[in-house]
Amino acid sequence: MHELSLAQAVVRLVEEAARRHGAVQVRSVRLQVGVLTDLDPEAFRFGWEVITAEHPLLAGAAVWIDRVPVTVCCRDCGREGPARPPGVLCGACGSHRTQVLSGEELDVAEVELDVRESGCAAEGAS
Amino acid sequence: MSVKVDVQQKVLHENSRLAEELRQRWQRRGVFCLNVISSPGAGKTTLLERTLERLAGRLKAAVLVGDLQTENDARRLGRYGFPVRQIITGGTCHLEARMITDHLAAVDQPDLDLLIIENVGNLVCPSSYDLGEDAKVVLLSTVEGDDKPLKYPGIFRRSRAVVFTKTDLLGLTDFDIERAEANARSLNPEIRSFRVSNRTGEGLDGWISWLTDEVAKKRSQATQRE
Repeated sequence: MHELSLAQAVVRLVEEAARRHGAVQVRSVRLQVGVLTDLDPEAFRFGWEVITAEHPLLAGAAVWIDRVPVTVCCRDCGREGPARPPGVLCGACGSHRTQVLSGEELDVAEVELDVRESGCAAEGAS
Repeated sequence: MSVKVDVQQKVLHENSRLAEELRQRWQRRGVFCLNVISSPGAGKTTLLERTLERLAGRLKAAVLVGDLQTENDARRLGRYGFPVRQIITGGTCHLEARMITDHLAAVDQPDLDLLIIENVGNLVCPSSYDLGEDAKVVLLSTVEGDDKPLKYPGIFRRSRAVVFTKTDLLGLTDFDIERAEANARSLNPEIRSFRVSNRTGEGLDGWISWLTDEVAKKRSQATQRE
C-alpha cells in the first residue's frame, strides 16, 4: 500500500502547480503511469480521496490515469518497439537483453484548474 | 474559467533528488551502499547477522534497518560491533530516501566502507523508492514459490543480485531452485545469483566475497579520483 505515499506526493505537486497559476479549485489531474510501475489505480484513488476530502483546492478533483505501454530497445537485434508481454522481452526477436524505453513512468502530466477570470495569482488585494 | 496546465513532473521527484544526493555522497567517500529487499521472513536479518559476523574486523560497516514496528532487528544486528539504527516506519511499507537522510547521522562515521540498508519486508513497494544505493539485493527463500520473480518482476529487474536463502530446506518443499533462477534471469539476464543457508553457512563464502569485492571496487574508484 505505497499508493497512499504516492497520492501524498501527487497532492504536493498539484498544490504547487495550482498555487503557481493562482487556481481557486483543481478540477482534474492526469497521471501517466507505466505498465511496469507498481501502482494499483483503485488503491491510489482511495488514498487520493482520503487525503483530498477536506482539501480547500483539491476536494472532488477527478483523477485520470493513462497507462503507458512498455517499449524496449533490443541489444541483440537493435530494434525499438513494444515489448513482448509479460515483462520486457524484445517484441521482435524475443531476446532478454533489452533496455526499457518507456513503461516505468509515474508522472503528473496535466492538471485542469479553475482560475480567476483575470488569470492572475490570488495574492492581489493591495 | 478553467485552464489545462501542462505539468510533466515526476511524482517521486523529491525522493529521487534526495537519493541522488546520497549517491553522490557515497561516491565521493567511496562507501558501498546495499539495499536489501525481500518478502517478510525470507531471512534478511539472519543473512545480515551472518554477514556482519564475517565482516567484523575486516571493514567498517553500518546498518539501517526498517520495520513497521519494534526494535527487534536492530537488537539482533547490534551484536556484531557495528553501529545499527532501527527506522520504525509506523505503518509505511517501504523506506524512502528522506528516512535514510534523517537517520544516517546515528550510524555514519568518517571511514565508513559499507552501508547496509535492510528494507521493510515487502517485494512491491520498496522497489519504487531509490535510496541512493549502489545495489539492490533481493532475497528469495526456498519456502516461497519459485515463480515469485515472475509475480514480482519489478524488484527482480532492478536488483543486481538475488540470494536464494534456506537452501538447507531444498527437497522438503516444491521449490525448484533452477526454475527460480531461470525465472529471475528471464527478467534480468545479468543478475548475480547466490545460494545460501544461513543455518549451515553453506554458500556464504560466495556472497561475502562478492560483497567485499564490490566494497573494494568502490573504495578504489574514490581513491583514484583523489
